Amino acid sequence: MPQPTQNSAGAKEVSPIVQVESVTKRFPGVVALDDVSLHVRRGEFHSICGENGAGKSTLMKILSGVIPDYEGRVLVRGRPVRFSGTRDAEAAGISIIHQELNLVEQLSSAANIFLGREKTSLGLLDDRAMEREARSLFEQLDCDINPARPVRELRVGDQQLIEIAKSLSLESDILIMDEPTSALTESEVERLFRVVARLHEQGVTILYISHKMDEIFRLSDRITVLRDGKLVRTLDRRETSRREVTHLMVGREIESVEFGGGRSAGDPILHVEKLSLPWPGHARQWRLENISFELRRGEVVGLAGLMGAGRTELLECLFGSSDERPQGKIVLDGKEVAFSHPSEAKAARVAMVNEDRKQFGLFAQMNVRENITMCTLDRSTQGGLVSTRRERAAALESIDQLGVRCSGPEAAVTSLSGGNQQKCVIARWLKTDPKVLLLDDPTRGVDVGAKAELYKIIDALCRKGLGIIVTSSELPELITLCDRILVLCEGRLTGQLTRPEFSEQRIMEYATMREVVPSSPPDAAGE
Amino acid sequence: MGEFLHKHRNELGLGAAIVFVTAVTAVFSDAYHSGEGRIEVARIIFRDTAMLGIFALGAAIVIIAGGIDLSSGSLIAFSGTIFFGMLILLAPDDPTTRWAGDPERHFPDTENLSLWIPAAALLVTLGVAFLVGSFHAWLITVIELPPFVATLASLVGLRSLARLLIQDVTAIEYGQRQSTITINDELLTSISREGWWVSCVVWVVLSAALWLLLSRTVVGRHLYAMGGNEEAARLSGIRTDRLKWLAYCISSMTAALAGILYACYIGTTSPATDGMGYELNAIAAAVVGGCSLAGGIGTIAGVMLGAMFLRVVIDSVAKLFRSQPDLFEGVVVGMLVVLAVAFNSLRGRGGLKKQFFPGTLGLLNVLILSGLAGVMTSVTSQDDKLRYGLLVGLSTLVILGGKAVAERIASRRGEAA
Repeated sequence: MPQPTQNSAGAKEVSPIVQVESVTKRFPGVVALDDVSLHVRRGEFHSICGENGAGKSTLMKILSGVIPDYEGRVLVRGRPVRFSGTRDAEAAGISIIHQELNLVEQLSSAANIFLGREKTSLGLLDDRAMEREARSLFEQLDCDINPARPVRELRVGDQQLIEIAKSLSLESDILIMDEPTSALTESEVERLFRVVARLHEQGVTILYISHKMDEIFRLSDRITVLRDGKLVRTLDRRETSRREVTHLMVGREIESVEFGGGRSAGDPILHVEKLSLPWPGHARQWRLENISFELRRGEVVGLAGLMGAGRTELLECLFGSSDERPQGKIVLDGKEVAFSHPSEAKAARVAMVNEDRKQFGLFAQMNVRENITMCTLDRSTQGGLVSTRRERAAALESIDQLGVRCSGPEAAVTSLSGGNQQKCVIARWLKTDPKVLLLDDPTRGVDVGAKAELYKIIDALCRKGLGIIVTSSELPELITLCDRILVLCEGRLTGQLTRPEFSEQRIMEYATMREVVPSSPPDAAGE
Repeated sequence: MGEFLHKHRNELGLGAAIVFVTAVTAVFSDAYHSGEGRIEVARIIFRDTAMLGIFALGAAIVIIAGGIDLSSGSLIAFSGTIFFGMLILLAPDDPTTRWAGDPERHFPDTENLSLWIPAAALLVTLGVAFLVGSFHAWLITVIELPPFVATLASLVGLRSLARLLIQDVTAIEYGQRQSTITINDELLTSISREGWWVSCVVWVVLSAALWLLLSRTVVGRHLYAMGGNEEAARLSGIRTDRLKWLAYCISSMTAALAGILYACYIGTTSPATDGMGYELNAIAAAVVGGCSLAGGIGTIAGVMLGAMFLRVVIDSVAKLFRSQPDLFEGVVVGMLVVLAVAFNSLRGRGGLKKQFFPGTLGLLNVLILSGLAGVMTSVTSQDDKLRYGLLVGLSTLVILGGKAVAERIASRRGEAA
């Protein structure tokens, strides 16, 4: 149950700058936020943490005007507000730095900072003035970025600082940061924290969203934990521990026992040797470098890594859908293969469920039947023509097998919830009778109940002898599902863990490991 | 039953609209008042619909596949030139005629061509169209040009090429450069009179074949999938590049068929003007017929009805105002496309409650629409042009202005509440 936040110590001393009162937000099929109330004090560093899908981002999108319709009330500086767009929020002094950056890549960093409120002289753009001001903002942030350079030529870390500079120039005193470090290197994270600490000292209120304990415990004054759309508790950092926060975040520990037990891997089905994927025109040259591993029948191998580590790219190489042709050797079931198109992978019985379902998986204008039979339609033909009867039977079989909840095979696929849509995409590929199944973040945007069902499906497939590779942005998920976890960092395979060795701590160590092997345990700041 | 109605509401609506427009025309126009006149009108409408319908099918396939083909108008001119060019190149000499410059040489005899000559010309023309489609597919899938650009290049390029080719072909056969070729063969030119049904048969057979392809084969399903979500289609192991090749070739070859029929119908091919702007009519027929320019949506039946609806309306406007139909074509096509697409997209989003005339842009468009109504009335009235124009223009202004004011009041009230 959500606990009233006023009870935490000292709430009466400082007046809250942001008050969220009984906010509920429903999306079709999911309650993203369920009666959440939260007070943020002026000048505090307030972390919001929770697993993916806990509702963190939804809450922040409401505060920053991205989502205008919700139930409940939001007060800023004691006055009720209802933002209908980010402009409104900016006017109220709230800036947000999104997980996915909102920059126009072709424009210079100065132009991005002043986008929508460009400085002009005599009706013409005054680039000089904007660049001058951008430079002084960058100086305040203690970073060295050329304001005239197009944003696309900058590193992700620099791009993020541009967003921060923008919020500075807006004179926002409330800064929301939505998982800002997910794409950063360690040194960039350090720099970001220096900048954030400085803003904090200047009295800026910071709402920091993350599920990384290190970051949360570094600067926070208070920590709010969300789970499944509900506010679990708001804690004072000095009175809590990482363990308690993690426990509150996950809220359930039994699940992992159900899976993986009694599975035994068979013969190798996929063998990857010195796989490299070139990255033309990029300083790093290789998206993937020298990756070797093996996958067995009846085994689930997880791919872990930060954003940009190359998880998706590795799967794409195995599926023949990468933009560049990979180098190295891929041996499938004893035969060397080099797919140049997904159709070849399909013929060789390799299947892949892509990361972004809406963009790369679903055919939104089609119904459930058509979505399920897309890869195997030629099996439902009679004399060269598609037999709708056979097709429907094939679709029904999959709906049964995976427990897709829909009104029937003729239902529009967009009428299904995210989890059931994902089942349709998985069903499509299972129909191809694959030997190797590649799942790229299969539970993204799927609610908790459907997640558990997907886990069961994956477990059952594995027991049938499929070799499965799965990636996830959530480490607990990989730990639940996998027999082995491979960790990537910047395109290199930096670690392999077997089930007894699994822990989020160790995976994160490998995921941030560069040339040198870190020997010291992570610091215990904040304990 | 209800499901059937819902699924085919677009086609049923178009069918009803066609019947309605025809009925209105039949009541008010003299052309329908004799039995013979009625049959004649029906023939002309069917023939014109078939001509448009044939290459509208091709345009629709490309649109459903998520692309666009702007080249069909020029391809009609180009294929007419190739077809007639081949005919005069293959035709035997007529010994009764002589070149002006060289009495030893004769003009080709196009009066009674043996059957193999048009057959060969037909094959060559379709072959060339196949090459044009393949060229488009190469530009789009390999060179990665946007379809709009690739086919725009053909739109301007092919017509020009046809005009150059016809000069050389006529120089070879007639001893002097000409910009048109005329054919006298009875069989070929008969389609303008008693052979009116030829294009209709071609249209219907082609429609049936393409309907089968789109709705009953794997390739057809994949075309819809590619149009709806190209990346997802590729990642489902569908060879999208081959599908595009197929779609653009179907489009070129249907346009070539229409070009051949068109040239035979006129009896003269004149690449400078033939098929001018027809690409937009084809796209309009597809869009009015329910195809989404975003791809992935559309049916053959819809496209057939869309083409027929366009022709019926053009014909009706021409009949009711008793002047040349081609003068009205642009205005009618333009309005129908806007109305059809607006209707489709508004229907999807609970549309009529929406504010139509917000802000300065809204007010300006109240004036634009009133002006347009006035000008349209003025140019279509027989006499008293200024009076009727002003009358209709002003009353439109009052109606739309009232709507704009009402919207403003409603939205202010909404804000207050």
